[in-house]
Amino acid sequence: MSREHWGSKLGVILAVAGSAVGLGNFLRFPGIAADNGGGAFMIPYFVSFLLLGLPLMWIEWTIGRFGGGFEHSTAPGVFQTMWRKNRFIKYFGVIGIFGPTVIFIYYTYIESWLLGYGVFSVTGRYAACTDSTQMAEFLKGYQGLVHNDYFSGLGSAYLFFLITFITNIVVLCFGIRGGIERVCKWGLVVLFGLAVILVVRVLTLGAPDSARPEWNPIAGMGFLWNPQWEKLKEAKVWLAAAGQIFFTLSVGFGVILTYASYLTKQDDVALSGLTAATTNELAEVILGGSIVIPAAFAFLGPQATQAIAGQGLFDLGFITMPLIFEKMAYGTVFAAMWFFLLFIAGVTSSISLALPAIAFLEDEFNLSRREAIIIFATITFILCQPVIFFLGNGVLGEMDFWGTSVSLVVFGTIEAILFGWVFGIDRAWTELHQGSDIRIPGFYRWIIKYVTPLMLLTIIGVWVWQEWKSKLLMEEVEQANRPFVLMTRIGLMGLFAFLLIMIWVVWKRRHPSEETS
Amino acid sequence: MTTAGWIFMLLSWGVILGLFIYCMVRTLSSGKRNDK
Repeated sequence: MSREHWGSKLGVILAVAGSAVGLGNFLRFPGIAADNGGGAFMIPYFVSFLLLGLPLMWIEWTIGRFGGGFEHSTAPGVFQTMWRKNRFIKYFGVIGIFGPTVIFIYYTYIESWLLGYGVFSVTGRYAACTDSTQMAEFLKGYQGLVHNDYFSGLGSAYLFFLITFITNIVVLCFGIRGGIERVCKWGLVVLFGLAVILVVRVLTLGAPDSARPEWNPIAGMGFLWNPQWEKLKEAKVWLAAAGQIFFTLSVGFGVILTYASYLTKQDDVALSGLTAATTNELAEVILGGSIVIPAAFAFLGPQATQAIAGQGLFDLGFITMPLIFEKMAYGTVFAAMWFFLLFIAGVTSSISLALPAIAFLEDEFNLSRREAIIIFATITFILCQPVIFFLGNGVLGEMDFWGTSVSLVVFGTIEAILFGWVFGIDRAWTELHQGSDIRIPGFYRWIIKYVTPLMLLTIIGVWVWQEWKSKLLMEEVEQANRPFVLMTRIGLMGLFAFLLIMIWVVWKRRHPSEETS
Repeated sequence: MTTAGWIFMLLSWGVILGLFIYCMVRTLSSGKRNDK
């Protein structure tokens, strides 16, 4: 069976950019930036982009293409080809399948809310909610956390979840070129188009309340961009910037590695990685930074905007933004655009999250794409159920912690050390420039070898120091929710162990020489 | 918005837009070259 490849260079770039552009670009970034020094936040943000994000982007593209040359599309096989003498390294690669699969399980559910709210905005289902309390009740009713006048059960949420889940699976069934590449190409064009329309609408709002002319979108931009220099002295601001860069670029997931494995040896990775990263930054800093905060400032004023900046992603997206759109002329249309935009961003991300597990089954178990997708869809559909039915018991938060926060940083660190130190920086540099359309400045050799791994180890060190004890002991979890969180943790450990066993079995059966050497 | 705010915003936007345009031009031109 011949290996599938991307149809065009732009196609793979947009697929990687589509994977990176997600809810975080439009909801997480503006809040974090406004909360951590405004314009001054961009200094640690750009430093992290140059020293952490971009190197990791190039590392994942390069090792992905390298592994693809040996018919491996996922981290276990790729790591093993990079360090043939170490027969344990493949087991570290399991994080590159575990992380994205866990995120896929809860992300598709959140994605389905966007579809639901997009439909509700058109049908006027939440039009009766005029303040944040009512909108919060609406959200809770939709999520099935309470039974209220808006919803009597989980029926609507489950219907939208089914539509979203099936949409993802259908796209994946069409493969790399016919499914993922095509959806990302059109999806990103529509996404950017909708985002530009929303930015223009927000920035031309003027002062909606004539009694308060100082409440306007330009002043709102000031809220986001006016630098607070004193914040630069705080370590947490630098960590927040590094974290945001990590999340936003989709590095450390193992997803870019899998995408890049479908490149040919002659395909460029240096320029493609840079282009994908820059496309994501355009969506985040220019478009994402010009919708939520300026709109909130214009309609709700500085104090409310300050509170909004510190809000969680869900409150901002599903409580505050619908209220803001309600206050806008033709708000129904703009709200539908907003949720549809986020839904597209969600789909282009979630299909990328599903691919490592599917590719693993295809490559290592020699299954057809259809068989691999049926197995993946069945397992993840079952695992989605606790997220849906025990949402209020901390299941989603626990999965997010292990699937995103932990897996991402640990996997990124392994990749960086493997690339710069084990594979060897000279060989890595040559591999990175194979078929390259640009020449990366020579000082990046030094950054990739020393600075990026050091930054990653520092992030891990600080997290262990600050958070791990309370996280492991569930100190911040309500007593009533602890059994649910514990069960989630056990379930995740079971999934991790299952993947480890699969790798052991595969290498025993298909690569026995590596096991015994 | 203060002058410093405008400077930070325009600088950030300028860097990102400049890089994006450069990358896209290079990507599309190298794509055409490969097609030939």
